[in-house]
Amino acid sequence: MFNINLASRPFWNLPAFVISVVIFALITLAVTFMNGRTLYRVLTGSEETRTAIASLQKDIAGLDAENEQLRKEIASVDTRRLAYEIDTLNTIIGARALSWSTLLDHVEEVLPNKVRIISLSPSPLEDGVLLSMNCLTESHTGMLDLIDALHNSPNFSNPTPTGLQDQEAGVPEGRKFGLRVTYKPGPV
Amino acid sequence: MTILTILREHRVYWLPTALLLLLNLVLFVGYHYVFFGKIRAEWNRRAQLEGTLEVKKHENQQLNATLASQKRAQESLAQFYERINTKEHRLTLLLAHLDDLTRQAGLIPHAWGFGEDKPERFLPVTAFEISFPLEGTYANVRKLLHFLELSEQFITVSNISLREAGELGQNVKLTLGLVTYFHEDLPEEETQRPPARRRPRS
Repeated sequence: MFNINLASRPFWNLPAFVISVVIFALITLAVTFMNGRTLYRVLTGSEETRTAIASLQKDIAGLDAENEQLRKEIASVDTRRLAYEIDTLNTIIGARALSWSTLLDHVEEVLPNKVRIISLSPSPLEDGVLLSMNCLTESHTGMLDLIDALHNSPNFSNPTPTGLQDQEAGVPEGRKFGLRVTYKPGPV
Repeated sequence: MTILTILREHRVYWLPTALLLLLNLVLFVGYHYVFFGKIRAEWNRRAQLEGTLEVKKHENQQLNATLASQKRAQESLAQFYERINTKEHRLTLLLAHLDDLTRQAGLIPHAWGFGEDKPERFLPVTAFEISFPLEGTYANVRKLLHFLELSEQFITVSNISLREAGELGQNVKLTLGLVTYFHEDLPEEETQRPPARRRPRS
Protein backbone atom coordinates (compact mmCIF):
# COMPACT_ATOMS: atom_id res chain seq x y z
CA MET A 1 0.00 0.00 0.00
CA PHE A 2 2.40 2.64 1.13
CA ASN A 3 5.52 3.34 -0.83
CA ILE A 4 8.31 2.60 1.56
CA ASN A 5 11.16 3.15 -0.82
CA LEU A 6 13.20 5.55 1.25
CA ALA A 7 15.46 6.18 -1.65
CA SER A 8 12.81 7.57 -3.93
CA ARG A 9 10.49 9.28 -1.41
CA PRO A 10 10.94 10.87 1.93
CA PHE A 11 9.83 8.97 4.97
CA TRP A 12 6.43 10.08 6.34
CA ASN A 13 5.26 9.25 9.76
CA LEU A 14 1.87 7.83 8.78
CA PRO A 15 0.72 5.86 11.85
CA ALA A 16 -0.70 9.00 13.48
CA PHE A 17 -2.61 9.75 10.28
CA VAL A 18 -3.86 6.15 10.01
CA ILE A 19 -5.01 6.14 13.62
CA SER A 20 -6.80 9.47 13.07
CA VAL A 21 -8.51 8.15 9.96
CA VAL A 22 -9.60 4.97 11.77
CA ILE A 23 -10.99 6.97 14.71
CA PHE A 24 -12.73 9.33 12.31
CA ALA A 25 -14.22 6.37 10.46
CA LEU A 26 -15.43 4.78 13.68
CA ILE A 27 -17.06 8.02 14.83
CA THR A 28 -18.72 8.40 11.43
CA LEU A 29 -20.04 4.86 11.61
CA ALA A 30 -21.40 5.45 15.07
CA VAL A 31 -23.08 8.69 13.99
CA THR A 32 -24.53 6.92 10.95
CA PHE A 33 -25.91 4.16 13.13
CA MET A 34 -27.47 6.62 15.56
CA ASN A 35 -28.90 8.72 12.75
CA GLY A 36 -30.39 5.66 11.11
CA ARG A 37 -31.87 4.47 14.35
CA THR A 38 -33.34 7.91 15.07
CA LEU A 39 -34.81 8.10 11.58
CA TYR A 40 -36.36 4.66 12.01
CA ARG A 41 -37.80 5.66 15.37
CA VAL A 42 -39.12 8.92 13.99
CA LEU A 43 -40.87 7.19 11.13
CA THR A 44 -42.33 4.29 13.15
CA GLY A 45 -42.99 6.50 16.20
CA SER A 46 -44.87 8.98 14.09
CA GLU A 47 -47.07 6.21 12.79
CA GLU A 48 -47.71 5.00 16.32
CA THR A 49 -48.53 8.54 17.48
CA ARG A 50 -50.99 8.99 14.63
CA THR A 51 -52.66 5.70 15.52
CA ALA A 52 -52.83 6.74 19.17
CA ILE A 53 -54.31 10.12 18.22
CA ALA A 54 -56.98 8.43 16.12
CA SER A 55 -57.76 6.04 18.98
CA LEU A 56 -57.93 8.92 21.50
CA GLN A 57 -60.24 10.91 19.24
CA LYS A 58 -62.49 7.88 18.92
CA ASP A 59 -62.55 7.37 22.70
CA ILE A 60 -63.32 11.05 23.30
CA ALA A 61 -66.14 11.01 20.76
CA GLY A 62 -67.56 7.88 22.43
CA LEU A 63 -67.38 9.48 25.86
CA ASP A 64 -68.94 12.69 24.54
CA ALA A 65 -71.90 10.75 23.21
CA GLU A 66 -72.23 8.74 26.44
CA ASN A 67 -71.98 11.87 28.60
CA GLU A 68 -74.61 13.61 26.50
CA GLN A 69 -76.93 10.64 26.98
CA LEU A 70 -76.29 10.65 30.73
CA ARG A 71 -76.96 14.40 30.89
CA LYS A 72 -80.30 13.86 29.15
CA GLU A 73 -81.24 11.08 31.58
CA ILE A 74 -80.28 13.25 34.57
CA ALA A 75 -82.16 16.24 33.16
CA SER A 76 -85.27 14.11 32.68
CA VAL A 77 -85.60 13.90 36.49
CA ASP A 78 -86.79 16.99 38.35
CA THR A 79 -83.87 17.08 40.78
CA ARG A 80 -85.30 19.96 42.80
CA ARG A 81 -88.56 18.11 43.36
CA LEU A 82 -86.71 14.89 44.16
CA ALA A 83 -84.55 16.69 46.74
CA TYR A 84 -87.64 18.27 48.30
CA GLU A 85 -89.41 14.91 48.37
CA ILE A 86 -86.47 13.17 50.02
CA ASP A 87 -85.99 16.01 52.48
CA THR A 88 -89.62 15.96 53.57
CA LEU A 89 -89.84 12.18 53.79
CA ASN A 90 -86.61 12.08 55.79
CA THR A 91 -88.27 14.39 58.31
CA ILE A 92 -91.31 12.10 58.44
CA ILE A 93 -89.11 9.01 58.81
CA GLY A 94 -87.02 10.82 61.44
CA ALA A 95 -90.14 11.41 63.51
CA ARG A 96 -91.03 7.73 63.19
CA ALA A 97 -87.53 6.76 64.32
CA LEU A 98 -87.89 8.56 67.64
CA SER A 99 -87.98 6.01 70.45
CA TRP A 100 -90.66 7.01 72.92
CA SER A 101 -89.43 4.41 75.38
CA THR A 102 -85.99 6.02 75.46
CA LEU A 103 -87.53 9.49 75.53
CA LEU A 104 -89.68 8.60 78.54
CA ASP A 105 -86.64 7.02 80.26
CA HIS A 106 -84.71 10.24 79.78
CA VAL A 107 -87.64 12.41 80.90
CA GLU A 108 -88.12 10.26 84.00
CA GLU A 109 -84.45 10.75 84.88
CA VAL A 110 -84.83 14.54 85.01
CA LEU A 111 -88.38 14.95 86.24
CA PRO A 112 -88.48 16.35 89.81
CA ASN A 113 -90.75 14.55 92.30
CA LYS A 114 -93.37 17.26 92.51
CA VAL A 115 -93.74 17.76 88.77
CA ARG A 116 -96.10 15.80 86.52
CA ILE A 117 -96.15 15.88 82.78
CA ILE A 118 -99.53 16.63 81.22
CA SER A 119 -98.54 16.42 77.59
CA LEU A 120 -95.51 15.65 75.48
CA SER A 121 -95.25 16.53 71.84
CA PRO A 122 -92.07 16.11 69.79
CA SER A 123 -91.28 17.66 66.44
CA PRO A 124 -88.16 16.76 64.48
CA LEU A 125 -85.21 19.11 64.11
CA GLU A 126 -82.17 18.78 61.90
CA ASP A 127 -80.10 17.40 64.78
CA GLY A 128 -82.54 16.23 67.39
CA VAL A 129 -86.09 16.73 68.47
CA LEU A 130 -87.90 19.82 69.72
CA LEU A 131 -89.93 18.68 72.65
CA SER A 132 -92.94 20.69 73.82
CA MET A 133 -94.13 19.70 77.24
CA ASN A 134 -96.84 20.90 79.53
CA CYS A 135 -96.44 20.13 83.21
CA LEU A 136 -98.27 20.48 86.48
CA THR A 137 -96.71 21.09 89.87
CA GLU A 138 -97.80 21.94 93.34
CA SER A 139 -94.43 23.35 94.21
CA HIS A 140 -93.39 26.97 93.69
CA THR A 141 -90.02 25.84 92.42
CA GLY A 142 -91.24 22.95 90.26
CA MET A 143 -90.63 24.64 86.94
CA LEU A 144 -87.22 25.97 87.97
CA ASP A 145 -86.18 22.57 89.33
CA LEU A 146 -87.15 20.96 86.03
CA ILE A 147 -85.26 23.57 83.99
CA ASP A 148 -82.16 23.04 86.15
CA ALA A 149 -82.44 19.27 85.74
CA LEU A 150 -82.83 19.63 81.97
CA HIS A 151 -79.75 21.86 81.87
CA ASN A 152 -77.77 19.24 83.76
CA SER A 153 -78.84 16.36 81.51
CA PRO A 154 -76.66 15.51 78.49
CA ASN A 155 -79.78 14.59 76.50
CA PHE A 156 -81.53 17.93 76.79
CA SER A 157 -80.50 21.42 75.91
CA ASN A 158 -81.90 24.92 75.73
CA PRO A 159 -85.00 24.51 77.92
CA THR A 160 -87.24 27.53 77.48
CA PRO A 161 -90.46 28.19 79.39
CA THR A 162 -93.47 28.93 77.22
CA GLY A 163 -96.03 29.83 79.88
CA LEU A 164 -96.96 29.60 83.53
CA GLN A 165 -100.35 29.72 85.23
CA ASP A 166 -101.01 29.43 88.94
CA GLN A 167 -104.15 28.85 91.00
CA GLU A 168 -105.23 32.45 90.70
CA ALA A 169 -105.09 32.13 86.95
CA GLY A 170 -107.56 29.25 87.12
CA VAL A 171 -105.48 26.16 87.75
CA PRO A 172 -106.90 24.51 90.87
CA GLU A 173 -104.29 21.71 90.96
CA GLY A 174 -101.38 24.10 91.45
CA ARG A 175 -99.15 25.58 88.82
CA LYS A 176 -99.32 24.67 85.19
CA PHE A 177 -96.37 25.49 82.96
CA GLY A 178 -95.12 24.82 79.46
CA LEU A 179 -91.53 24.17 78.33
CA ARG A 180 -89.79 23.81 75.03
CA VAL A 181 -86.53 21.86 75.04
CA THR A 182 -84.20 20.32 72.50
CA TYR A 183 -83.84 16.59 72.97
CA LYS A 184 -80.97 14.53 71.62
CA PRO A 185 -81.61 10.84 72.08
CA GLY A 186 -78.11 9.78 70.95
CA PRO A 187 -75.80 7.62 73.07
CA VAL A 188 -74.39 9.36 76.10
CA MET B 1 5.82 18.28 3.74
CA THR B 2 2.64 19.27 5.41
CA ILE B 3 -0.44 17.57 6.67
CA LEU B 4 -2.24 18.85 3.61
CA THR B 5 0.03 16.81 1.39
CA ILE B 6 -0.67 13.70 3.40
CA LEU B 7 -4.39 14.36 3.25
CA ARG B 8 -4.30 15.03 -0.47
CA GLU B 9 -2.19 11.96 -1.29
CA HIS B 10 -4.26 9.68 0.92
CA ARG B 11 -7.71 11.19 0.32
CA VAL B 12 -9.02 7.80 -0.75
CA TYR B 13 -8.94 6.75 2.90
CA TRP B 14 -10.68 9.69 4.55
CA LEU B 15 -12.77 11.27 1.86
CA PRO B 16 -15.55 8.60 1.74
CA THR B 17 -15.76 8.75 5.52
CA ALA B 18 -15.97 12.54 5.43
CA LEU B 19 -18.68 12.37 2.76
CA LEU B 20 -20.62 9.89 4.86
CA LEU B 21 -20.39 12.18 7.86
CA LEU B 22 -21.57 15.08 5.72
CA LEU B 23 -24.49 13.03 4.55
CA ASN B 24 -25.30 12.26 8.18
CA LEU B 25 -25.21 15.94 9.01
CA VAL B 26 -27.49 16.76 6.08
CA LEU B 27 -29.92 14.03 7.14
CA PHE B 28 -29.84 15.16 10.76
CA VAL B 29 -30.48 18.79 9.89
CA GLY B 30 -33.10 17.67 7.37
CA TYR B 31 -35.24 15.65 9.63
CA HIS B 32 -34.64 17.97 12.51
CA TYR B 33 -36.30 20.76 10.57
CA VAL B 34 -38.68 18.77 8.40
CA PHE B 35 -39.85 15.91 10.60
CA PHE B 36 -39.29 17.02 14.14
CA GLY B 37 -41.62 20.01 13.91
CA LYS B 38 -44.36 17.76 12.63
CA ILE B 39 -43.62 15.06 15.18
CA ARG B 40 -43.53 17.52 18.03
CA ALA B 41 -46.92 18.83 16.93
CA GLU B 42 -48.22 15.26 16.90
CA TRP B 43 -46.81 14.61 20.38
CA ASN B 44 -48.41 17.82 21.65
CA ARG B 45 -51.71 16.88 20.06
CA ARG B 46 -51.51 13.43 21.64
CA ALA B 47 -50.76 14.89 25.07
CA GLN B 48 -53.62 17.35 24.66
CA LEU B 49 -56.02 14.58 23.67
CA GLU B 50 -54.89 12.42 26.57
CA GLY B 51 -55.68 15.35 28.89
CA THR B 52 -59.08 15.84 27.27
CA LEU B 53 -59.81 12.11 27.61
CA GLU B 54 -59.02 12.24 31.32
CA VAL B 55 -61.36 15.21 31.76
CA LYS B 56 -64.13 13.40 29.86
CA LYS B 57 -63.61 10.23 31.90
CA HIS B 58 -63.85 12.21 35.13
CA GLU B 59 -66.99 13.92 33.86
CA ASN B 60 -68.40 10.53 32.89
CA GLN B 61 -67.74 9.16 36.39
CA GLN B 62 -69.47 12.15 37.97
CA LEU B 63 -72.47 11.88 35.68
CA ASN B 64 -72.74 8.15 36.33
CA ALA B 65 -72.53 8.77 40.08
CA THR B 66 -75.24 11.45 39.86
CA LEU B 67 -77.50 9.19 37.83
CA ALA B 68 -76.90 6.26 40.18
CA SER B 69 -77.74 8.40 43.19
CA GLN B 70 -80.90 9.65 41.44
CA LYS B 71 -81.93 6.07 40.74
CA ARG B 72 -81.18 5.00 44.31
CA ALA B 73 -83.27 7.90 45.61
CA GLN B 74 -86.15 7.03 43.28
CA GLU B 75 -85.98 3.37 44.31
CA SER B 76 -85.98 4.33 47.99
CA LEU B 77 -89.00 6.57 47.43
CA ALA B 78 -90.81 3.81 45.55
CA GLN B 79 -90.07 1.37 48.40
CA PHE B 80 -91.32 3.87 50.96
CA TYR B 81 -94.52 4.54 49.02
CA GLU B 82 -95.05 0.81 48.65
CA ARG B 83 -94.60 0.43 52.39
CA ILE B 84 -97.09 3.14 53.40
CA ASN B 85 -99.46 2.01 50.64
CA THR B 86 -102.77 3.68 49.84
CA LYS B 87 -105.47 4.43 52.34
CA GLU B 88 -107.80 2.09 50.50
CA HIS B 89 -105.41 -0.83 51.03
CA ARG B 90 -104.05 -0.13 54.47
CA LEU B 91 -106.56 1.75 56.64
CA THR B 92 -108.61 -1.20 57.88
CA LEU B 93 -105.50 -3.31 58.42
CA LEU B 94 -103.93 -0.47 60.36
CA LEU B 95 -106.94 0.03 62.63
CA ALA B 96 -107.17 -3.70 63.33
CA HIS B 97 -103.44 -3.72 64.04
CA LEU B 98 -103.76 -0.80 66.49
CA ASP B 99 -106.65 -2.49 68.22
CA ASP B 100 -104.52 -5.64 68.58
CA LEU B 101 -101.56 -3.71 69.97
CA THR B 102 -103.60 -1.85 72.58
CA ARG B 103 -105.22 -5.09 73.73
CA GLN B 104 -101.83 -6.84 73.89
CA ALA B 105 -100.61 -3.96 76.05
CA GLY B 106 -103.55 -4.42 78.39
CA LEU B 107 -105.32 -1.24 77.35
CA ILE B 108 -108.72 -0.95 75.76
CA PRO B 109 -109.55 2.22 73.87
CA HIS B 110 -113.27 2.88 74.01
CA ALA B 111 -113.24 5.82 71.65
CA TRP B 112 -111.32 6.59 68.52
CA GLY B 113 -110.85 9.94 66.88
CA PHE B 114 -109.76 10.43 63.30
CA GLY B 115 -108.48 13.60 61.72
CA GLU B 116 -108.97 14.94 58.25
CA ASP B 117 -106.66 13.79 55.49
CA LYS B 118 -103.80 16.27 55.36
CA PRO B 119 -101.99 16.10 52.04
CA GLU B 120 -98.29 16.93 52.28
CA ARG B 121 -97.61 19.77 49.86
CA PHE B 122 -96.08 18.67 46.57
CA LEU B 123 -95.79 15.08 47.76
CA PRO B 124 -97.95 12.06 46.92
CA VAL B 125 -98.44 11.53 50.64
CA THR B 126 -101.35 12.21 52.95
CA ALA B 127 -101.05 12.41 56.71
CA PHE B 128 -103.83 10.83 58.70
CA GLU B 129 -104.22 11.44 62.44
CA ILE B 130 -105.66 8.97 64.87
CA SER B 131 -106.18 9.66 68.55
CA PHE B 132 -107.69 7.60 71.31
CA PRO B 133 -108.09 7.94 75.05
CA LEU B 134 -106.54 5.22 77.14
CA GLU B 135 -106.79 4.18 80.72
CA GLY B 136 -104.32 1.86 82.32
CA THR B 137 -101.19 1.61 84.36
CA TYR B 138 -98.08 3.50 83.37
CA ALA B 139 -96.40 0.15 82.63
CA ASN B 140 -99.18 -0.72 80.17
CA VAL B 141 -98.75 2.63 78.43
CA ARG B 142 -94.99 2.05 78.15
CA LYS B 143 -95.70 -1.40 76.75
CA LEU B 144 -98.02 0.04 74.10
CA LEU B 145 -95.44 2.66 73.12
CA HIS B 146 -92.87 -0.09 72.81
CA PHE B 147 -95.20 -2.15 70.60
CA LEU B 148 -95.82 0.88 68.40
CA GLU B 149 -92.07 1.43 68.01
CA LEU B 150 -91.58 -2.16 66.89
CA SER B 151 -94.63 -2.22 64.63
CA GLU B 152 -94.12 -2.87 60.93
CA GLN B 153 -96.87 -0.37 60.22
CA PHE B 154 -95.66 3.17 59.61
CA ILE B 155 -97.19 4.80 62.70
CA THR B 156 -95.68 7.73 64.53
CA VAL B 157 -96.66 8.79 68.02
CA SER B 158 -97.24 12.51 67.66
CA ASN B 159 -98.19 13.39 71.22
CA ILE B 160 -99.26 12.07 74.57
CA SER B 161 -101.65 14.09 76.72
CA LEU B 162 -102.41 13.15 80.27
CA ARG B 163 -106.06 13.61 81.16
CA GLU B 164 -105.90 12.39 84.70
CA ALA B 165 -103.13 10.96 86.80
CA GLY B 166 -103.94 9.01 89.92
CA GLU B 167 -101.62 8.26 92.75
CA LEU B 168 -98.50 6.24 92.19
CA GLY B 169 -99.34 2.76 90.87
CA GLN B 170 -102.90 3.74 89.99
CA ASN B 171 -104.29 4.01 86.49
CA VAL B 172 -103.49 6.99 84.33
CA LYS B 173 -105.89 8.40 81.80
CA LEU B 174 -104.30 9.80 78.73
CA THR B 175 -104.90 10.52 75.08
CA LEU B 176 -102.49 9.10 72.57
CA GLY B 177 -102.08 10.99 69.30
CA LEU B 178 -100.81 8.98 66.34
CA VAL B 179 -100.13 9.92 62.79
CA THR B 180 -99.72 7.68 59.80
CA TYR B 181 -99.16 8.40 56.13
CA PHE B 182 -100.78 7.05 52.98
CA HIS B 183 -99.56 7.15 49.44
CA GLU B 184 -101.96 9.11 47.26
CA ASP B 185 -101.70 10.48 43.77
CA LEU B 186 -100.50 14.05 43.64
CA PRO B 187 -103.16 16.62 42.62
CA GLU B 188 -102.65 17.83 39.05
CA GLU B 189 -101.89 21.47 39.99
CA GLU B 190 -99.06 20.39 42.30
CA THR B 191 -97.23 18.22 39.80
CA GLN B 192 -95.91 21.20 37.85
CA ARG B 193 -95.16 23.70 40.56
CA PRO B 194 -91.54 23.68 41.67
CA PRO B 195 -91.38 23.55 45.45
CA ALA B 196 -89.04 25.58 47.57
CA ARG B 197 -86.57 23.48 49.52
CA ARG B 198 -87.97 22.44 52.86
CA ARG B 199 -86.15 23.68 55.93
CA PRO B 200 -86.34 21.85 59.23
CA ARG B 201 -88.26 23.64 61.89
CA SER B 202 -86.12 25.10 64.61
